Amino acid sequence: MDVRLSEEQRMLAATAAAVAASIGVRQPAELETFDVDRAWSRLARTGVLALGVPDAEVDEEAGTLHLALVAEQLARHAVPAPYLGSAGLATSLLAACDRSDDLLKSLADGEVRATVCLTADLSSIAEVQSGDAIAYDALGVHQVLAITTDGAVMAREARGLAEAVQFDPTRLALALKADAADGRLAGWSACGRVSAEFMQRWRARALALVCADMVGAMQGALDLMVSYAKVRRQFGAPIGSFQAIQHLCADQAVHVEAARSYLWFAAWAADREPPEEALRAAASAKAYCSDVARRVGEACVQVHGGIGITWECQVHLYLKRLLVDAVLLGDAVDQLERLASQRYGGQGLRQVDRTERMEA
Amino acid sequence: MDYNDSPDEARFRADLRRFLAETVPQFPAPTTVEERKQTRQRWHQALHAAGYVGVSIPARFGGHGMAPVYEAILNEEVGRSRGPELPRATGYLARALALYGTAEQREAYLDGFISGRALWCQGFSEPDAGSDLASLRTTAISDGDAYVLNGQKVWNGGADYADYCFLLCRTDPGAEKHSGLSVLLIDMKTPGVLARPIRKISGRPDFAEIFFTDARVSASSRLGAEGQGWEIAMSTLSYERGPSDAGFIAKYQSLLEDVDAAFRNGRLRSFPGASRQLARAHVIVEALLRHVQRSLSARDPEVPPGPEASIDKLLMTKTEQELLHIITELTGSHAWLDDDDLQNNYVWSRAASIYGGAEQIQRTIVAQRVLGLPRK
Repeated sequence: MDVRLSEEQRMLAATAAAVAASIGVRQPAELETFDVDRAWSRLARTGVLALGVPDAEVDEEAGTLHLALVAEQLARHAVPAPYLGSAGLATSLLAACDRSDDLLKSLADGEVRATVCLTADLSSIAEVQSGDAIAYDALGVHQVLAITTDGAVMAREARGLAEAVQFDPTRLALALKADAADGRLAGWSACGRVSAEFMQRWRARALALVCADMVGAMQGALDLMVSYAKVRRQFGAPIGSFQAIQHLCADQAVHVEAARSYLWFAAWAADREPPEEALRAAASAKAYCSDVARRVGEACVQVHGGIGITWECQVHLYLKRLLVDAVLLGDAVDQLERLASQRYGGQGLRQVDRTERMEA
Repeated sequence: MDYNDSPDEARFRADLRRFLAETVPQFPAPTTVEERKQTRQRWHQALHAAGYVGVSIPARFGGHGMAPVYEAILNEEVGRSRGPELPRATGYLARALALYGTAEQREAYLDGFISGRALWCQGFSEPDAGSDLASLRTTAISDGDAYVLNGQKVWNGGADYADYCFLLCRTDPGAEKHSGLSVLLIDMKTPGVLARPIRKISGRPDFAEIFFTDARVSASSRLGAEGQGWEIAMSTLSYERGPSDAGFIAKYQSLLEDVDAAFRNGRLRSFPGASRQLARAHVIVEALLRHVQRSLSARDPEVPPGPEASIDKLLMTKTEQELLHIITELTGSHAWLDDDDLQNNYVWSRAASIYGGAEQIQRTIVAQRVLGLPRK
């Protein structure tokens, strides 16, 4: 066992951190002038857009971890560009297809951005034939992807899709309305097929990457609350010198580090473990991160006091990103239900309860 | 990054499992103080004979000089085998003796200590010196070639049957509080030294206290220089955190196995969301496991762990307490009626946020020394 980042992985994280700091959002007002094309070309130049494409020349068995290291840094600086959606979820899905697609190449090169359509409750990837969907993390995307029940990956243009109302100002959501009965497949074209096993692995990777976004946003929130506690003065002293504030911040540091440790395992498992174990690890990490994410986001508001609930203060960017991440691809309840049904099935009910159920 | 055992680690684990499968059944849970002492000693000696004591302690300190991850494997497997607790404090005592001891002291104590021939206890806390350890008042006043000891120590696990005590006491009552301290290596049979077991709220005697009344010990029992006590205690003690956490995790995992079995057999309460609660218990224990694996991998056996170790301690405490909340809730009234083991585990979980530096002290360390928040 050796749970350390390699020298190259540490360099990747450092590079991502530098780019993220330069394209990141420090004030909510900057969101209005954010130039996604410019940010994207910065990212493309560092090569991080192609990390989801298997490449024999680099460590192929660490794709998810590499994507996670970058996603973490971008979330830490509240970057609105769709790295999670495009370089993470969409690119990985296309890379898992049985045939090579032009779209995959343009995604990896940074010429095109795409994201994945989720079910209306955001709990899983959407199927083309089923109801309304939301393309999440869709700022400046050209294409959106979905799957079909029989394992085809489909793409369509994002142009013409309306913005969906949502809470998190650092990421754009697009609404897809279910079409009338006959025309549902109109506008979609097939990119290839993915096996059920690959799909399981993709789900594990996707969950791990959402965890990475949460770990980054949690770290951003922690950085923010600590630096504010050092400069904000009350009673003639920085509030960060008061034990009540110190202990609140210390608890958040514990949450962030534990979440990061779980993320590393989930990301490693997504590439290296059999699909079932990969998915179990990712679901477990997602359950854990979703729980602590809210605590960290809320503590950040609390340390800021009144200013923390104003639009001008960047605290809400992290809080909202964390709250939405917590439900993306299933919240803690969803993950725990999945884990519980795998572990216990219908067991654990007392005889009397079973009888009552059968009678009911 | 790799969470799997390397070939060497896998071999070490396989040999260890074989050893534990043969050995652990010879160690039933002790009931009396005398049995506890014998069990502890026999267990230590069995481990030592098989090469499992001082695994990660550098060879020059009497250990095997392996990477800390082997210590984690040892803790994990012993926990899984449900064998007795591993000998505690191995690392810091060996290090302290090796770094600060005279040739005579090393000769006299190191081998007996590593091999388990002699049992040691630790004399640090006092009734009025808990979190504020440096305010301790047990005195050792120089009198010719001897020290005369007076005072009281508390929370000294095993002191009621130990052979020796690693004692932190005040040799210069006039000096500033941190600089007036020294470490003495005390024979527990010295006249004027009296150890008494302390009964915990579980009813079990897991701790002891020690009284010193004009106890005379030779000046040669001092470790290091006069006034060097705080440095010795702090620099060597910090090595103790880490691998032992892996042992706790194995204990939690065994606990979860039992609860899972009881749940599947319908022996636990059933209410909406019960299985989800149990799934959550697995998740929080795994979070701790992954975190400890990461901490251990980052650890250099030659460098004492920094203030980040307090994050690990806080996480461990939080996990253990939440785990016991979930288990007692699922167990229901039986937890407080007839489940003696569960009651004991619950009581220990409350001690977790007190021993080794209270939770509040750990939070202050993280806030000031990890996050850099200002001191008052």
